[in-house]
Parts: sequence; C-alpha cells; structure tokens
Amino acid sequence: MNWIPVGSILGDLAMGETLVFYDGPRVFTCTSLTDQLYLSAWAEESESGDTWLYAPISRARYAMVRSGGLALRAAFVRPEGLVYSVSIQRDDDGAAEVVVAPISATSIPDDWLPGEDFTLDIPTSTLPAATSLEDVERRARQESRAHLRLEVELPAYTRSEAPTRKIGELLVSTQVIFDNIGLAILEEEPAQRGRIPNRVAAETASDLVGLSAASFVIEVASNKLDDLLGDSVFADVTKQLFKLLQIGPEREQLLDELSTLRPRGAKSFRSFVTSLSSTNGDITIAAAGANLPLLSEKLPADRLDAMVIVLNNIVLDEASEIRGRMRLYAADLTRKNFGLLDEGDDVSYEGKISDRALAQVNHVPLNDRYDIVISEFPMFDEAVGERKPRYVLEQLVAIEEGVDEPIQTRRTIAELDD
Amino acid sequence: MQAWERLLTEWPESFPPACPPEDAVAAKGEFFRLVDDVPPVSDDFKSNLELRRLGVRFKGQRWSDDCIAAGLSVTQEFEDLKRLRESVGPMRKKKIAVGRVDGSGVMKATPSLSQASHYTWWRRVGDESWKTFRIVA
Repeated sequence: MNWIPVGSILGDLAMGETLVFYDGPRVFTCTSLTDQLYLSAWAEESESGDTWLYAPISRARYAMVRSGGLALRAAFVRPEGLVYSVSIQRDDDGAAEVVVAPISATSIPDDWLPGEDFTLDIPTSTLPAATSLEDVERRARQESRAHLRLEVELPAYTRSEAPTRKIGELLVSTQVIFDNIGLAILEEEPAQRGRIPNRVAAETASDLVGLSAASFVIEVASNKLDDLLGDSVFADVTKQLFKLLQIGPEREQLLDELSTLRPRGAKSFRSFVTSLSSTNGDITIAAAGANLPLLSEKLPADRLDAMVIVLNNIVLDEASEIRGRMRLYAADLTRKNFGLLDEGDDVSYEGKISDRALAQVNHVPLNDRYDIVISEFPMFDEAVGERKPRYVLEQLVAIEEGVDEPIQTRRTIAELDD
Repeated sequence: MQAWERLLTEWPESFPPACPPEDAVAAKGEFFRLVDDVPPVSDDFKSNLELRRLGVRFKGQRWSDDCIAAGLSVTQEFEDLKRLRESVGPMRKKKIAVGRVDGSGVMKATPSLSQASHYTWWRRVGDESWKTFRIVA
C-alpha cells in the first residue's frame, strides 16, 4: 500500500482507519513511530500523482471529528499543529517522488479542502467500553451487591454522550421505582404519599458506579451489601421490576402485576417506563446479584411507547387507596373475587383479592363488617370510551367486638415523593 | 470455445487470481458514480488497476488488495454519494452520474465507515454499460 509517504520527514507511518473510501482511501488516519496520530485527506489529483493534507491530531479531537462533533475541514483549517502537504508524484518509470512541506492553514487552497459543512458522523466511543453483561454478574458477586445496567441507544448521538437532563431523569426515576417497589415489598401498610421511610430507603438506595460506551451505559449498584445469605431487598425489587418489564404492553397482565405494588408503586413504574421511553432509543436493561442470576431484557423504543400508552390508559394519575368500614357480601377465594358495600355512602366495590389479602378473607363470615383497604385503578376503557375503576382488595381486618360504629371512608390519591 | 470458457476469460487479464471474489453477485439495478466528464465517458469507468495498466495513472503503484483496485466504487443511494462528495477537495469537483448496470459484471456490497450503500463493481471485458450513465448532480 503506498497511499502514504515513505521515507519522508513525517517518519515511518502506519495506516490506521479509513474513514472515507471511494476508488481507494480518501480520508484516513495514520500513526508515526512516536505515536503521533495524523488525519489525512486527499487534496489534489493529477495524471502524475496525488497531493494529500496531513494534520496532526490528538485522540480527543479525533473522536470529535470522527463522530461529527467537528467538521472535517476544521481539522485542517484550525489544526492542533503544523499541517503538511504531501505530494506523491510518479515518473514514467513508476518511481515515486515524495515532497512533504509544511503549509499554513490559511494558505491551503479552498478546493483542496473538504466541504465546509461536511461531517463524518461515525459512531465513536468516547467513554471506556462497557464490559460484557456477564461481567455485570461477576462484579455483583465480587462486590456482594446487586448491579443494574441500563444501555440506551440514543438516536442522533454518534458519541458516547447523552443529554444531561434525560439521563438525570432516568437516574432519578430508577431510584424512585426501586424505593416504591421496596416500599410495597417491605411495608404492611405502605403510605401512598410522603417521604419514603428511612428503613425502606436504606435498603433500596443505589449508587451510580459507572458510565461507559456501547451507545450509552449507566450502571448503578445497591448502596447496601447483600446479607449473609446473598440476598437483598434491592435484588428482590430488581426481580419485580423485570417481571413487570417482561409483560410489556399487555394491559390485563400488567394491571394484575401492578396491583401488587399498590397505587404508589404502580405510579412509579409508569414514571420509570415514561422516562425510558422519553430517550426515544432502544434500551437494554440487565441486572445481577449474588443470588440473582443475570437478567437481561431488550426494550425497543416502540415497545416502550406501547407500554406508556397502556400505562396512561390505566389513568394512574388518579390511582388511589380507599380505607373504610364495609360489609363483605361476596368472596370467591377460587376466582379471587370480592364484593364490599360501603353502607355509609351506599357504594359497592367489586374486584380482585390481592394475594396478601387472601389469607385474611379466608374463613371470615360473609355479611359481617370489616375494616378494609382497597386500591382503586381508574382505567380508560377504549371499547366504550369510558373510565371504569378497577378495585383490588389489599387488606381486610375483623372489627373488635363491640366496636362497630361506622367510619368515614377515606380516599388517598397516590403521590410520588420525587 | 465453450460458453463456460468464454465466461472465464471475460475478466480483464490484469485482474489478480480469484478476482472478482466468489461472493460477488451479478450486477443489477441503478447505481450512482462520481465522474469527471459531462456526459460521462469510458475513462470515468476505469479502475485504478486498469489506469495503471494503461499507464494513465498510478505508475508503479502497489495496493494491499489488487482485487479492490480492480473494482469501481458505486453507490445505491444518491444522498449517500452527494454527502460523501463533499468529504475531500478533488471529489467536490466531480459530478454524480446514474445508470443501469443490469448484467454488466458483478458487484459486492462493500460498506465503509461513512457510506453504508457502497458497492464494488467489477466490469467484464468490453462492457459498455457506462453508456447508460447520465449526470444528475
């Protein structure tokens, strides 16, 4: 290959990357023995040979030029060092005459240069390369704490960079979903608004442990080490999160699973998916822990969009918790259905019994009054164009003997404390 | 001469052994190429290897892959080529021509870092499909 000069003052050059190829390399890099990187562009052609421009370039600037952050022309007209014109002419016998001469950036003829607006736009890693998914599992074991990785394919970004606002939102919504699923797992009666209790937050807190390339990769790890058995709330939350993400835009299944999180957890899941979707990119989420085998789920942008539509149709903005004293008039433990009558307001509630309330409903007499907690998910039914609430019985407690006064039913709309 | 013998000799003698590559397929479709002349002439469709053989250019030049030097760069996407034309001074002066190359030699998709629709086209001896090319930009 003799597109590059041999025996010139530039030293022994080794061909690097060909960035533009058309009937041969037209823009390429080469490196000298002293590790100086040069960017070279075809500048002039004639029957007897060609002239090239060679500009010394730092790795950081090269990453900018390669990815399109800087126009190719800028590498030559605003160089970091002396630009050389390299003329390789051949006589009739084929002998090459190489003339290398410095040329000031201002005296390079315009028609030797790339077009003013031409950019290369080649995807370029500007962060350390992300390790393999298997490495996430290995590190989680070594560090005795669960790791979660989000890999985002950001459209229109050719460098390993990402908009600060979007990535900030993604990090916050990741922590919020962990806090709220953790709340639903750890608390018997999770508060539907207000601060996440410290006891829960201590278990679900995460630390940002790395940003790396391969599109854009965020990795967080549990702030707390696994227990002696290798388990952690963080890992339990992770499993629940994957279970939800694997369902995808299947409305009924999603709602069944969301109801286990109570309205607040469900709302934080919607917020998390919305935040993933707002990147407009394809996402791969992966996690591993000491006792959590590697989980990995690909979430293409269109799937995330479909999930957001379904979640918005569930109208989770108004998802609420209802507490009151009501009469149990129906309970089908096989089908997990219930019927309750709020005698004070003369309103009846029918829906599903949550797994955690099944044991409480088992064997209790019908037509007695109980203190109850119901989750209400107002859903938009596209078929009829109406909102229809869906109820989940979360708790049923027998009333102490002799205490049977009616109490006012209270409704609390879930709010995220983010 | 048998038909298959003719096929074997249809490639220019200057082509290296095993060139074109086995995975190249029959050229078919509309392709774009940068040319110097308006209207395009046969010289616009000579490969680097051919130019060296004729002594027009590249005298004494060696390439790391003579088979690539025996092929011509063409692209399937006009916009790809229009953009790439701006990448270096000498290409900015060239014109974009389009033509049909059905049955004229073989091609192989050879995408590059900055041009996904790049193909290498190996033309047979006596191929005149260049005559279908016309300037579009």
